[in-house]
Amino acid sequence: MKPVSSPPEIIVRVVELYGDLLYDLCASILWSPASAEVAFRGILQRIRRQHPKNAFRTHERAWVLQVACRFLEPFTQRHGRRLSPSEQLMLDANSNLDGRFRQFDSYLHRLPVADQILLLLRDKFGIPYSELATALGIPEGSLKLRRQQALKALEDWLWSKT
Amino acid sequence: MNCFEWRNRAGDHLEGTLSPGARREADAHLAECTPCQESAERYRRMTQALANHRRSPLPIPLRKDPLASPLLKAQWKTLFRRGKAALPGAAPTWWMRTGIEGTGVALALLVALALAPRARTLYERALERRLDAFPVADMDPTAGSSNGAPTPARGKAESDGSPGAGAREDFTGEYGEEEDTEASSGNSADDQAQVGASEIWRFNLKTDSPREVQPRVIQLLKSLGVPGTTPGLAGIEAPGGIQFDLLVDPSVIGPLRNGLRKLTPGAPTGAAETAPSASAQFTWYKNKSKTRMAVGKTRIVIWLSQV
Repeated sequence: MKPVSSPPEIIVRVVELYGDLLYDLCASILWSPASAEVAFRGILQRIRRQHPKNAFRTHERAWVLQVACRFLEPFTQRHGRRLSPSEQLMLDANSNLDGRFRQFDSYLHRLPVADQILLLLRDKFGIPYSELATALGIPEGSLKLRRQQALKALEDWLWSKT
Repeated sequence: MNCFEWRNRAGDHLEGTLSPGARREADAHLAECTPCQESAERYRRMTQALANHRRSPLPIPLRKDPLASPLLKAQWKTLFRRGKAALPGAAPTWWMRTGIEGTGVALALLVALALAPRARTLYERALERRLDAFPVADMDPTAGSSNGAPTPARGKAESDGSPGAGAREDFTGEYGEEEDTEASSGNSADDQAQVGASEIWRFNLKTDSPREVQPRVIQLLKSLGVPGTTPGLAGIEAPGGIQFDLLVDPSVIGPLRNGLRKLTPGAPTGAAETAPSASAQFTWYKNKSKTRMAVGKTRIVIWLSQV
């Protein structure tokens, strides 16, 4: 009989199944491969520590994303890259819509971290709202509303004065 | 469906999650409303940009060894930060902590109490060493300058006070040096100098002509057995009078007092008791002094003040 999965085993499984997702999320949020690696290791560490040994997890991806989101939000506050005022002015000074879309990352980083995570997980990785609700701890209706508001904010920034 | 309703359901409409009836209404509204068409186009473009967002694959080293050394370091750091209970002895209970602190304080007090007498002894020895290291120089009061003579005002003030009533001698260098010179003159008993047990006899004699009284005082001292080579025997000229400052044998004090009383102007010659006017002219008293003095010697200071 196969023994109960030990913490290294869960880490190996998480890396195999969700490694790309987690690392891409970290890199997209943090804008830095080094910070993304640190955050990725931190998420794995937290998963290793919090994983219940004897529980069979039905919604493992939702749980992994929940751990990742809870780790990333404070981590981004400390290590995330922030746009300088000059970069903000440069963004607003660009009157070309295509030019603005080329700097889509910068506009995305103007959003709060939770909204960035929501948009990336929903529109980039196609995570369903049910898992996002578990991961972010927000009801589905609120998630949809927040996504709508985030897109509206992006629309205002991208299409203003163009 | 109006614009407001469509904007509320735009996300579901563009994602295709609306019910068939609602979707038909939304499509019908979009066909009629140009601003909502533009808005829908913008949403599509933004969601497309998000979907086409650049991908960052997991680095191969990180995939192969996610538990690399940085992770282990992070584990240890985490262990130390959050799991104090995991480290034995890192977080003692309150009674252990209190006991350790109390024992430490008690030990510190005991050590302080045990070392206090030793510290006092060390302090006294240091004091004695400092006194022993006092600069020795040939300071004969007879050859000295006016520094060797106390001011008349001081002598007068002391004569007004009661003998030994809180009066303390605080002499500077020259007296100590003089005593050191005396002690080094070959007297073996002088090597055992005492501190704080010395006494000074002061005789104040008011006269019209100190110069006339001076040789009589010298003669009196010589007649009492004071050697002629005693430093200070000749007296010192000082503003306001003449001072004798010398070390003599204690047995000299009584006869000297009587002799000086007889030298007082206005005193009847040979009278044992002095007249009131004569006692006002002659005063004497004894002081304790902290200054080191040779054993077997007493210091006398005779002050012939000019009236």
